[in-house]
Amino acid sequence: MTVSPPSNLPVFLQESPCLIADPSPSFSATIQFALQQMGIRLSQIVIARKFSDAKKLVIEKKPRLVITEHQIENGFGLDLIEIQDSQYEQSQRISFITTQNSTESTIAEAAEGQVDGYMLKPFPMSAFQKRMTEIVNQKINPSEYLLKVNSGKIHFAKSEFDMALGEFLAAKSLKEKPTLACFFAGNSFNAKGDYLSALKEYKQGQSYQALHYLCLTGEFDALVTLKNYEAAYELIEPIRKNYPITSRRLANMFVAAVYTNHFDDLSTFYSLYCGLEIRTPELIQISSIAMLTAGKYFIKQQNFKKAVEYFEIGLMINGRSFSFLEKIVMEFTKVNAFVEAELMLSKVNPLDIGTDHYTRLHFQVSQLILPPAEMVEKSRKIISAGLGTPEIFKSVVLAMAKLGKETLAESTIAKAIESDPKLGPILYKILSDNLPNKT
Amino acid sequence: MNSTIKIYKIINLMTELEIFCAKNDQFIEISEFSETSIFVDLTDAKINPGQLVSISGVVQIKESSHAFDAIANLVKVQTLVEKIVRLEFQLRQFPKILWDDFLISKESAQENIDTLLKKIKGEL
Repeated sequence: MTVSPPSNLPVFLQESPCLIADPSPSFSATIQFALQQMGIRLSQIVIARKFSDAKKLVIEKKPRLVITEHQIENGFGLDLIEIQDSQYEQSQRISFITTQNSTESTIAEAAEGQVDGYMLKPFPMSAFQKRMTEIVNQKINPSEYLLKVNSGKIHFAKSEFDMALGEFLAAKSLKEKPTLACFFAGNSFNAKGDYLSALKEYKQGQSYQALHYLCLTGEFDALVTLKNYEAAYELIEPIRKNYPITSRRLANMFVAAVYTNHFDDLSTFYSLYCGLEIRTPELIQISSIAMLTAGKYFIKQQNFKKAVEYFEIGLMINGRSFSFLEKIVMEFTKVNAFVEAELMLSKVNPLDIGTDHYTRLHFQVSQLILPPAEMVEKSRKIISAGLGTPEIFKSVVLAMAKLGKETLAESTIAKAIESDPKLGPILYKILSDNLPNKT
Repeated sequence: MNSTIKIYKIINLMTELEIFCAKNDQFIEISEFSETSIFVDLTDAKINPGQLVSISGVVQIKESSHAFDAIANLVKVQTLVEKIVRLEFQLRQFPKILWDDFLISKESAQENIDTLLKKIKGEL
């Protein structure tokens, strides 16, 4: 290991501890030596190999320097940095990711999380020390412009949006191309609910630097918030062409594509989804809903094949949740698409087979093709097992009416009323409208 | 894909004893490198500095893999933690072009990351 030149790191950190969060004991020890060479005392360095320990240490010790693996067990280094971010303003802390993960979306997530350094393992220790020194020097000697921006960010973090805005607007006069100040001014307007002024700031930022990532994505997010999906959709292509996509942004892209009926784009977005290392619960929910909406759209277009495709993706995204599968199957039963309904039902999670909800859904599908007499027989069994639902009662009363089994239908209606009195009038109407002498 | 070097055998050329031999494809990755050295972390390695060794491994550069056979001098043995020691090998005879490709690939991957990071953070 090379000996590094004197560093400003001890000056920057003062007495604050440094956290190294990495499952590898040897890597942690290496970083520890590297930090010691940079003048950090051994007593200042804390090491965690498990995510839970690292999280506890960030909360308790409030380290101004966090060096973390991208992923530790099931936890993410970015979550540690997020906690650190709540404790210090960005100019007052350093966050560093050291990992073998070179996925662009992961790097983009890190950058949006305001990570200061991101190094690919293995690396020469001299390169690590050099990068750390650069970061420290940048933080210790910020320009007047950055000082203003940082001051604005402190106000922003305290929800003092007017004061933050004042600082960001003042910062704009301190640099020839103040893109960052425009971005943060836009964010302040956003926070104040003035989305149109926010959009102006983001656009101004892009006038200084075309395709400036923060301003471009800021504009996209603001347009989604304003529900101006057509304009938001227009920005998807330039963002996608020039930058990796983060989890949050992808969720908004799904939303924009759905609201603008660009359902054919969803399969492209799904490829991006598959390439993501981090999938937030929000993204999982939004993308599966997008697939459900796309499937419904294609059913309306009578394109059942495409509907099946999108529904299948939706099912994969949300781990074959039964409630999701039920919605899909019911969409096909509504249009009497037995083959597709049965196909989707076959995608059920094996653990759900044999459960009451599966039995009900299975009946809903099979009643589409069963002869009325057989359907009535099967439904009686389901109802006597206490598994009747309003939909089942409706279809069985209809079948009984068509077969002219008025008495049987009435006793079924009586059972339905026991479970839900509101069903009575609806079922009696179905019966009276469909008895053979009435038709 | 990240570039790296995986080692599957290290033999002490003086004693002809194996210092490390991968079992069941359990290769070890180098933990660090410099312009002419590689660092390997081993558990319970019994070897002293000054020994000449042969190193067999695989260099992964982006999507492609290449055999990496080198003669190196063990210049430093450092206890890191518990029973883990870090061995620093100074490369003597090695596939120079392949090694340079590895160094360039690592450097350019890191440069790309730094650029992307700065671009996204609005610093460029």
